[in-house]
Amino acid sequence: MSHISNYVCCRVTGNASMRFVNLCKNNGIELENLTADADGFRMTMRVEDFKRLRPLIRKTHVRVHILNRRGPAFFFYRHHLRLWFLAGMILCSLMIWYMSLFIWQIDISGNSKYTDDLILQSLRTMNVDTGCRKSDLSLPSIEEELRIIYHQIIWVSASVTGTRLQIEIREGNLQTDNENMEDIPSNLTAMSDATITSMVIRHGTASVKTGDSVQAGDVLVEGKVYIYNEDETLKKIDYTRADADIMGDYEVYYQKEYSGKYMDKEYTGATHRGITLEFWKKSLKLPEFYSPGKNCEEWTWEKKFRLTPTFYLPFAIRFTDYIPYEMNEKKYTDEELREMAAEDLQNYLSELTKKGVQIIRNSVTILLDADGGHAEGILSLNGPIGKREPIDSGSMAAVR
Amino acid sequence: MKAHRHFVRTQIRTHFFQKEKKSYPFLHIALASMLQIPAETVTELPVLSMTGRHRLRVENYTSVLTYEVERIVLLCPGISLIILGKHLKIARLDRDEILIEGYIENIAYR
Repeated sequence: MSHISNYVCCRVTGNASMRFVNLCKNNGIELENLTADADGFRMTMRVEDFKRLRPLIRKTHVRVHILNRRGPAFFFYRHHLRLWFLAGMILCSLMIWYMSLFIWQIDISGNSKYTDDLILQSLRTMNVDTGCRKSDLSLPSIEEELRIIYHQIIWVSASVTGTRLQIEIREGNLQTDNENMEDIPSNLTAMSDATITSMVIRHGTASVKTGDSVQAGDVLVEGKVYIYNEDETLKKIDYTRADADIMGDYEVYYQKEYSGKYMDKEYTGATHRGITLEFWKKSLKLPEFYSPGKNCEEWTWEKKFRLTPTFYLPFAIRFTDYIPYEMNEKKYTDEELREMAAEDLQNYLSELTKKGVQIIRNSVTILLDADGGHAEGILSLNGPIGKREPIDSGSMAAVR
Repeated sequence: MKAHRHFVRTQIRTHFFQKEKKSYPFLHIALASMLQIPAETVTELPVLSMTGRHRLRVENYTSVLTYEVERIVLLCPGISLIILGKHLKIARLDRDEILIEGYIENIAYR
């Protein structure tokens, strides 16, 4: 008997129950699971066959008791008051299927030079946005367009899983126009007044030597190579990019002011939350019984609904937390001011050390007064003092 | 006809009782073997198909005479079939065949 047919399980009692079974057989009524009971038989038959039993029952004078009813007809009759629930389930399934035909989430990964908003803006120009049909997307053309628009993107992969469009990007370090300028002829000039302590020249001609005192702007290494004839007369000058490591002693004036007063944020009351429901690009803000005052921090985050990690739905809920606060004027203590000044100075010195600068003498002092304090002094440093300056093309032609 | 003659000589004379010989459709069997078709298509002999000793299918039966947990008696044309066993159950019963399940110990003819 098929699982989708309607059948009944019944019990036949009476003296002529065996005759009843044989009559069923002769009338083409199929019986299943026929088992002998104490006073009769138990059997299963189709509903259509059960309806034909009346003349046989009359003939054999047996009694038939229905024990069980199985099948889709009985199931729907039993739940006929819940048909709207079934209709709702079917409608929900259809809606979910329909929503799966669109893209509801775009994720971009691997980008550092280009922001997500920039790439999303470019995608919008290609008619790729949340709410677009998956069948309208052409992934190879998206990849190609992104590579054309952004030169620093060397590899793009676009894929669709569920209702999410995933774009993976690899960026490269292509030479820009500015970097190409490093090939043009240039001199090395002094950044500040200094005394040269060491020189290692790789390209160019030195204008100064170790031990010389130079001022800011003086040419240290010329981007020229003089080529002489055999009789030591100048044959020609080749212009090149000067390259050298020039270290010198110089001084830096360090000064920083600190105010004794500052504004401190003090959170006063409880946090209030506002909820906004979003469907695709429409939003509905739920009524709030709280009006944020002048001083209030607003924290907003969005939670997008999804059925699976890749099946996003066009529904989202946005929470906004309002945290009221008060600004109070406070004063630093002397100890705090000293600590702040010392920490700032230490950070500045460690930054210099990272650039290869050696600190010879530190004469910075921290002085406090009524309004706050200041740190000032002179730092004697030893580090690279060369700065690149391109050679003017006019001067190159004049010399030649 | 040669196969039928061999059948008559070996089976009938040795095993069949006198009374049975009269009612058994030997002519029909001979015709079936001559035409090379299954004998049950021209005769009304019951066909038994057994799977192991737990399932028995009987085709071409007339009615069920007795149905008990340890004994089922089927009436077939010219023959009564007695099935003895334990926990016998009729799994399916229709016009043409009957399927018996259970622990079958013995099948006898009467």
